Amino acid sequence: MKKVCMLITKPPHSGEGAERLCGISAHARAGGMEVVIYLIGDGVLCAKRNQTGHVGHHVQTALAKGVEVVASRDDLLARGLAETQVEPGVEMVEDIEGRIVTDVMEHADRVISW
Amino acid sequence: MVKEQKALACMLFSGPYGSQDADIMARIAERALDMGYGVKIFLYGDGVHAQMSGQRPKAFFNVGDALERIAKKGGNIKSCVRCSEARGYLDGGYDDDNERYISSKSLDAVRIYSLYGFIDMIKDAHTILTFGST
Repeated sequence: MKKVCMLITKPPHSGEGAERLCGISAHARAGGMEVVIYLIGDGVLCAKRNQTGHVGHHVQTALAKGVEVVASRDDLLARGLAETQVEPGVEMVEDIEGRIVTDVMEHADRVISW
Repeated sequence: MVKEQKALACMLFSGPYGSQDADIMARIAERALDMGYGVKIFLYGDGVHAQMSGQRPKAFFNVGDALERIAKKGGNIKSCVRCSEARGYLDGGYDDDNERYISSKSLDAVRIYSLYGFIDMIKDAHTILTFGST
């Protein structure tokens, strides 16, 4: 199975990047790809629970379809977001840089950063 | 032991402090070096402002210090000569001995170089990450 890693550094609703990437992730998964979305910096705001906009919908759909969503714990806490305020299913990790490096260097067939 | 055969290339299009692109790139690049991978960074467009020496942000992650740490750990950092010249970083022509264009405003850790430096970087890299936008 091909693996694609998506790196989101921008917040939702400030541009189209986060919305597009979250949106295509579920399609990539449905197409038989293994998909991981990494949220870092302001990108972690995409993981905020119960968002009613497109990004919230796409993240919830992506998680339901089996997309792995990984967010930086430090960046979430820096923005006042505790685990209870994060969409269920999103994995909060301490060393997101290490996870990204391992994945893009050892496992991913494609990498998209936005 | 540095796994030179496997290098991560990062291209930065945004300047520091206006966004987190430079911070995030530096965090990932430094972690890659700590994990034993090679790292190559190319600064392009407003991304060349990350090479400014004497950066002293009061409350933000210091991008200049991060680039110096990355270079000390073996990272190869180049910036585009045309982008640097347009933004006032150049003091002279190409210095053959040090393989860089002369600049008193740029960090020693960063070599101002032709855009062909980016082509070499692509050729040698296992993976390329881009940060920011032009």
